[in-house]
Amino acid sequence: MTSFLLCALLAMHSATSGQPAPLSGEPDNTLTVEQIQSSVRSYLGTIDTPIEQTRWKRLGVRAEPVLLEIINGKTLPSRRAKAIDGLSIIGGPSAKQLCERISADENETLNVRLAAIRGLARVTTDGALLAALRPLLEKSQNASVRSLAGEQLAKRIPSEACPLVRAQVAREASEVQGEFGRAVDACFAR
Amino acid sequence: MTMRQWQLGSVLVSLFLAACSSGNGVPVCSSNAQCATGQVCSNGVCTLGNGGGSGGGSGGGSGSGAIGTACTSNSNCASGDCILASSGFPAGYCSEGCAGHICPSQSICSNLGGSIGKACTESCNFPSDCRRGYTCCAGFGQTCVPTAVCNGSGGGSGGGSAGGSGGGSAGGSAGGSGGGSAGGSGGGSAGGSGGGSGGGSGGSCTQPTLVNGGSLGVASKPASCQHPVVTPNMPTFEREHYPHVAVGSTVNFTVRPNIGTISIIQQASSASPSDSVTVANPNGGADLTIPNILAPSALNDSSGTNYFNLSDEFTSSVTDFSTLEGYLEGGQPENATLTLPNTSKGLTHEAAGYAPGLWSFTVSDLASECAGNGPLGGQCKTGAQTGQTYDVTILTKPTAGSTGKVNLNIFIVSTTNTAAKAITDAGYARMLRTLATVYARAGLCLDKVTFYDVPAWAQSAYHNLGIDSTGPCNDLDQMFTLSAGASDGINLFFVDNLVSSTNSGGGVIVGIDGAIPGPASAAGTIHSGAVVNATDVDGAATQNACSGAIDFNNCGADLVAYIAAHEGGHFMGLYHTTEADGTVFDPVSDTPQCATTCDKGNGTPGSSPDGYVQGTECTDDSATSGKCGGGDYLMFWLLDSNAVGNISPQQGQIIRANPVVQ
Repeated sequence: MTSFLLCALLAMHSATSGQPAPLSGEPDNTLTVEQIQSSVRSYLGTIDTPIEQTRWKRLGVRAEPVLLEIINGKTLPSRRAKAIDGLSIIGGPSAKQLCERISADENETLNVRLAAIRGLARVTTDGALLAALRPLLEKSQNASVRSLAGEQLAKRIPSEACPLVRAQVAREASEVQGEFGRAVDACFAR
Repeated sequence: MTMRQWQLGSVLVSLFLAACSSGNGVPVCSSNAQCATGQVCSNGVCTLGNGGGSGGGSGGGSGSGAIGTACTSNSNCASGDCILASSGFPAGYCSEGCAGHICPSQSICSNLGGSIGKACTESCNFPSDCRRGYTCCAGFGQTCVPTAVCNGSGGGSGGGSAGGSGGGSAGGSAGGSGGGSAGGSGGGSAGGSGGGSGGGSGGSCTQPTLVNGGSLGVASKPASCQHPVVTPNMPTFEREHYPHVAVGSTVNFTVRPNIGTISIIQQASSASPSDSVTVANPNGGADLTIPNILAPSALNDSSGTNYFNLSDEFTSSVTDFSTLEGYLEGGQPENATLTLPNTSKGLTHEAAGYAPGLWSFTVSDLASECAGNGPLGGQCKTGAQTGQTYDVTILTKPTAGSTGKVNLNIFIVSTTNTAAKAITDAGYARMLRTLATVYARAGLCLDKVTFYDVPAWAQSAYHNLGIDSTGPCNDLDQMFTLSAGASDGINLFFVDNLVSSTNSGGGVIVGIDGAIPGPASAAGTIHSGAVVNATDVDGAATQNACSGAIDFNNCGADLVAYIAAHEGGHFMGLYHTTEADGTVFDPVSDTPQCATTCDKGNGTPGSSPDGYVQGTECTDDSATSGKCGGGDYLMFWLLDSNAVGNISPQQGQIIRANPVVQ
């Protein structure tokens, strides 16, 4: 009875999350370009189910040109943002440069820019993270960009970042301090 | 026209074209003079013209009419299938048989009844979108059909599925009580033929009323997490309310005759109950954390017939959830709603209503079940709990008709947009038209759409919404409490960005529900809404994507409408037809499933599975199980190039039965 119950609980848990069983996360080099393109199109169509990182990684760096075409094209912002997520998870050679460029672009759509900041944090080592994100935390014109940069820093290198985050919050106008909730929470959590 | 006749028509078209061409396929006409009387030369082929062609001054047609255009022969239509005027379709109607396959974009599968059967009909928003002699008919899934057909039918939109029929209302106008089963459960069988025989009218939706509702929410951010207990706003005669009921207590309530919906809302009214329980992982490794689930046990009618038991969710061996009286998936700590019917079996009560009399249930949650003597007793390592109390409300609603109306409350949670701007924005206008079109496929009309602002502190805190933290104090749940005071309806929070950033997955998503179903008519609770990522609403991937027919993949307003309809579908009790991994399906028997075995990696035979069933792998709607279908359905787990936004007849019934629908 117990094992059956627990299996049922497991099934329930799976149903709740809607997530499939994990894959290895290794690139599948047997995939054709058409198969990669098809998967990318599908993953960009997810509605309320986050795409597992292992699914992106399975596509490998051969997905990079497909994703770059979407990111640099006229596709809808949410799909460009999802493509940046995928590109940075795959970690292809162009990911870092692209994320740097987009995250610094004050004219870029917010949704896309925030994805680039997450992507930049994803492809940057801890040792280089402060140099990558501190300018965004302190100098970006957009409060959402500043707060997300602070959040990424606080989660990864809290001892170095949290004093900077707190100082930045203190400089912020009261009406945008709410943006920094997750960044501040990340510092408190340490 | 039967399917065989459709195919025959296509064969005849082929023969006609062959006769008009040389043997090597070179076109044989270069001017109209070379064609027979009544024909024109178009693209080197003699065809019957129907106006609107490229012309060269000839006024000739192109012979490539889309679904819904006028025609006098099969050769006028791109599909090769013309429903002739003599069949009651004024000036003819290009269509296409749809038994077993998906209709082209901007059309859905309708059961036109009689000798025609199931055929694609042109999607529309309003009557003015249709040709003379046709109306935009809600009973046919908001498509253009002859006015006489619309008025003489109780429905027939099959949502594009093999289910097709919709059964046909036995009568009555919109929302009426004309009896009969609207879209009855038998509608799922291929080849059903319920349409066209009803006598009542599905009617057409009118344009919704748009209202600027001003700002809702307190001026300053609350100092602590909010746990509001809200009394639902239903009329008293459809509501019984019991505050502070201890778990394990029995609640009695009255079900009047002709009640088709029973909704039980539990809200924590004492010190917070456990948000989760933990159990040992049978596969080893870390313990599993399961959200605390609030739901009744021993929900019985006056004769003792059981309709729901919380513990059955864990101990039942049933794998086909459509055979259950009620279904609940996922945990909803602190505040949860169980609404019946939400399964195919439950829908069997829709026609005559649930058994009238005194019903009862035991107030319960997973934490108390773990602490009790029942089948879950002692199974939890942490989280077992007794003594918690709940505010319990039972809503009952008369059996639903074949149509219904719903209000939308759109909360603009943005640092760059406002309710005043949104209400006049072209992107939002198109988004609402498209959303109305999708919901009309379920016989559901948008009634009033109210745009609300939220206070500045809430814009700042929630416009870039993260959904990683769990529990009732997370940003998602706290944002939903801003809906307190909103008029009765589906609360949709339109945010600038929506992100999940878990280690295993994450990134941008475009929607999220607060609960399935949402607590109808109880605005202001931690689950009173759903979220839509609005970033695309004014965007377009191609130059003219938003200037013509609905284009879910390239027109941002249409994409956002799809997301809003999907999340609103969750609010009204619909689950994903198939979850991402192809192992969990909705409790509805007339929606096509797409099982793990359909996972071919990328829709290409021979490639290795990737763990996701994708739209390209789920295109066969010729049966509800045993095939790989459902990728075109609104409640499929993703929206890709196969997305059409179909809603099955049973899904439509569940939606219309929800208390939020009038």
